[in-house]
Amino acid sequence: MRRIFLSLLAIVVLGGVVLSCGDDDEGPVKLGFLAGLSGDYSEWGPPSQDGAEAAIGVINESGGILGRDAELVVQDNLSTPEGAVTGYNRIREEIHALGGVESDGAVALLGTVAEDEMPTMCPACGTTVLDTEGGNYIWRITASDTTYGIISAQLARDLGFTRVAMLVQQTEGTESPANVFKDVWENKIGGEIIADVRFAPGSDSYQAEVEQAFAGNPEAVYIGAGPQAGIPILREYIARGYDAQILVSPDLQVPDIAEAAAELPTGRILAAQVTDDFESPAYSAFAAAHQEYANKPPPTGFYETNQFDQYIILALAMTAAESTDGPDVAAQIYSITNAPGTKVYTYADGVAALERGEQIDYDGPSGTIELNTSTGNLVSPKVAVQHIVSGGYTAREVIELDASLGR
Amino acid sequence: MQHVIFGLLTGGVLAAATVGFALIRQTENILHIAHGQMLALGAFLSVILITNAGMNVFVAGVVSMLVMGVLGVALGIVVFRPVKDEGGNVLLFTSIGLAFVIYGAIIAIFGTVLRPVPVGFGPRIEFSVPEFVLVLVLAATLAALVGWLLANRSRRAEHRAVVGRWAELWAARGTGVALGLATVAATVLFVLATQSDGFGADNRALNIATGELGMILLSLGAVLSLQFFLSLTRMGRWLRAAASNPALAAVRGIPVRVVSNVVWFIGSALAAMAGVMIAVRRGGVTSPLGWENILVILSAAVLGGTGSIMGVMAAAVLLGLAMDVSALWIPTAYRLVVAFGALILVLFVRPEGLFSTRRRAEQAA
Repeated sequence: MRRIFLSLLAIVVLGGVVLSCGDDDEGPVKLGFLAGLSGDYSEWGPPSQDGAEAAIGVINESGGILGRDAELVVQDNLSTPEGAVTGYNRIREEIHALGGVESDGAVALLGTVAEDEMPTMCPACGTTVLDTEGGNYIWRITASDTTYGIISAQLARDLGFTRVAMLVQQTEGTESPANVFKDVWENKIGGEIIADVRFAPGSDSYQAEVEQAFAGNPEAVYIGAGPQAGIPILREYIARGYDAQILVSPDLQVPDIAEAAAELPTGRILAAQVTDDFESPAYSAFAAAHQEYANKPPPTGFYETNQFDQYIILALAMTAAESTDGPDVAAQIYSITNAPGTKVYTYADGVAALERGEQIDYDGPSGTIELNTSTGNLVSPKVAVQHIVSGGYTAREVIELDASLGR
Repeated sequence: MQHVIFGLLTGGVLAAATVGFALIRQTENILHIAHGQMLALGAFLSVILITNAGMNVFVAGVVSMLVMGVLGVALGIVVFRPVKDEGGNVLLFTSIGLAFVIYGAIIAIFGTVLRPVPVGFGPRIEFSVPEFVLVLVLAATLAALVGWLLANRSRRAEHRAVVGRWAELWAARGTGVALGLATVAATVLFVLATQSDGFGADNRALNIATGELGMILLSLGAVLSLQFFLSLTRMGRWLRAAASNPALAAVRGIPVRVVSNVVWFIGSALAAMAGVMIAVRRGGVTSPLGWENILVILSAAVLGGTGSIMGVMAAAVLLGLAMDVSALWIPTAYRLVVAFGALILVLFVRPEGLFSTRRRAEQAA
């Protein structure tokens, strides 16, 4: 009796294994969204996911991918490298491509996604590691921290400062642009760093750090931190009545920081951020999709357009490849994003052109997405200086990168 | 010298959190890891009351303390009482499991995005270094006197003739030693302040916000109130008796279950109070708040040792000072390394903790 039972159990288990290894060509095309829904990046989480969901909605509205529905597989990475690894391991077996990745996750998963041949998009990662290490199975459709660091140094120079302090959180996403800023400021511009204060996140107070950074009366202070540290730092700055110019890293360009700094004069806090192409027909289509699928108009400054574009690019690449296999999709990425080709601004137009046998050049709401075919980085990101006006960040002048400051 | 003020503030807030943890540890014999999550839950609750209900921060804090106190009692009855006799490991892992449950509840209820706390610290008070050191010395002396009175209450009549003998301060249970150390430290600081540029020999003005001073005084008041409660009230004596020998306490008619409920209420309320102060200090709360604080709380409790609430408070203040004053010489990124390094060093020399009364009790026995 026991032998019969064990035999039946083995058959059931084996049958389940066989059935679970179903034909991968059926069922939805699953696109992973691995982002910081909790932790330091949580402010970007929901609006980023809205952008991603809008893309999925647009794709399915236009017939899906290769006749199959697209499905977003959402996984929180806890805003940490460890969370990114754990989160990716949870979804790697079921997804066909990965998006939403941030700096910490990109660095942590760089080798893994290449081994898995998993096409991976970085819509919001600035890490300088990707300046040279991307382009194979990982592509970045936003500006590098190198760009942000150079632009911040350029801003400080153009404002006439010579003595700058730094207050930097020790995480990948914040140290990356800060180190570029320091290198360019000292070695290219010849400025002085009078204090370089590095701190670990997660503290209840940063009073000692702020005291150290401002003790030497700097003309400007570069603050690279996440919002959790940024808010108490700004409160301390305001409470102590400091008046040095503040240059903030991209992670601090969120509404909570702008609200915390609302009482400061306009222009006291400056930031450099990639700006969307609001004039593009792609943006109009994106805004309509965002309103339809997220039930609200799109915000700005949360990489929502980049999140949208990454899945359109992946879906178009799958369409061009007529396959969801990693190597086939990866081989099509540059043909989708780069000239020459028929300019397309929507997923539907792209699919139609591909079905006509044309090569396409997709431009999305985030801008002209021309990628360097060696590194997978944007060739010419569009960056604007942001000011805090009435408790919110507002893009002012577009800034051209000074080529002499390039690394 | 400004860093000393930062350290006192850090230590004061830490003391409020640690004393509650230590009370539960001493009486219920649990390393209550979920204490960090109770702190976080109290913080979130107060933030919601401030931002959504428009409550004043003090009122919101009191409400949060009451709610968390009641929740603590409920958890003590429902979660921990059934497994109280199963040993330390079971209690520890029950608390860890509860911590994850509360963490999950925090995320489910409040979400994962940062919630700003729109509460300022008020105007700043400026003073010179010698004035600051003088205040420290006076405060330490006053606290030592209070501690001496509390520690020696039962022998007050006997010692009336020798009130002037300051040596009695050092003999008092834990309290005198802790506060004596504070007096010595303050004296050393005064000497250094007048001799060393690093401590502001030019009388550069120091400052503290009224709200920050309020936090320090609130923490001190809470801990002193608890010490009074434990020393001077019948429930306090029951609590100490139940902590030292629960079985004997029950035999002698002490209502140990009522005592347990009181402990859970006080410990959880103190966690909530600390959570509110941390939320105000940070200017915002996020879901990992509890996990970010429990390790430091645990370390302060271990550093303080068992048997002395005032000793735990002193340990928390010392830890806070270590973390902030060390920033003058060591990069602030290593503040936790400094704190835990000091803890390890202390435990090498005195494994039972700086202010533990366990060794004295064992020697007396």
